[in-house]
Amino acid sequence: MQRIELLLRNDLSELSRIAQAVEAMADVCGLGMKQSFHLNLVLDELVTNLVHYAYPEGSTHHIHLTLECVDTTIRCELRDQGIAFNPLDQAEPDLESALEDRAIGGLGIYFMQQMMDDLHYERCDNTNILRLGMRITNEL
Amino acid sequence: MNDANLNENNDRSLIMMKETHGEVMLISLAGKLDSMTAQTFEQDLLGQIAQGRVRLVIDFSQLNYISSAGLRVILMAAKRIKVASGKLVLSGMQTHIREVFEISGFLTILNVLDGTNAAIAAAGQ
Repeated sequence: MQRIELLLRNDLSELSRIAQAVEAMADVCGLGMKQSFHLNLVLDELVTNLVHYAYPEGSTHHIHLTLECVDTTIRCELRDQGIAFNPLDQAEPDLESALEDRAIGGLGIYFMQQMMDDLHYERCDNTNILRLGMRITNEL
Repeated sequence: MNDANLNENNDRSLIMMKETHGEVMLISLAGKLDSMTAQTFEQDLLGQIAQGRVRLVIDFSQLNYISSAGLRVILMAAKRIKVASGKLVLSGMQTHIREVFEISGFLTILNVLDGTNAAIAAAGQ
């Protein structure tokens, strides 16, 4: 199996299914511990953002996640019908202020920028489509 | 050492164990600190600080996972402890957890030590 598709509800309890999917994908593709953690973290951050902000009116919605292993790359696609949000177009987080002034926020998106190799976003037919690639290294 | 107090959350994916060492409280985390578990952790940790427990060590050696939701709680705690003239020391981070703190720029604003005993000593000073 080289492809996993998940239909997630906008609920934080779905994070455990993401973790299971990443683990399964890691086994199939030979993804090491470090990159598995990175992939899980990035997907966690993105889905957590969607759960918190994408559906201001509440109610249950679905987020479509696909993970695919192509040659030496893991390709992820996240589709949601929440409010338009381009995560590639966000300000850098505060990484330098002193403790008392340090602002929190934007770190999840920053992890995505640091940990993934290819990032692509488009808004199409009321759908946010985010495609991410991670090149598999041989690091453990 | 002494009145060790085992405090298991309803959420099975994060376990907090607390132990007092004189003035210092050691909180050992096990499992996952993510957006699912961060809220319980936040209430508990900020509650301790509000009660005047401002010499704290958080031991991460059994923690396998942290996301920005967990980092947010640590930052809030560090700010409040600073205002209260207390001391917060973090210890025992696994490599991948430490990397997240590093990428976040947290290693420059937080006290992070390898060993728990050294962290308890540092928090007591």
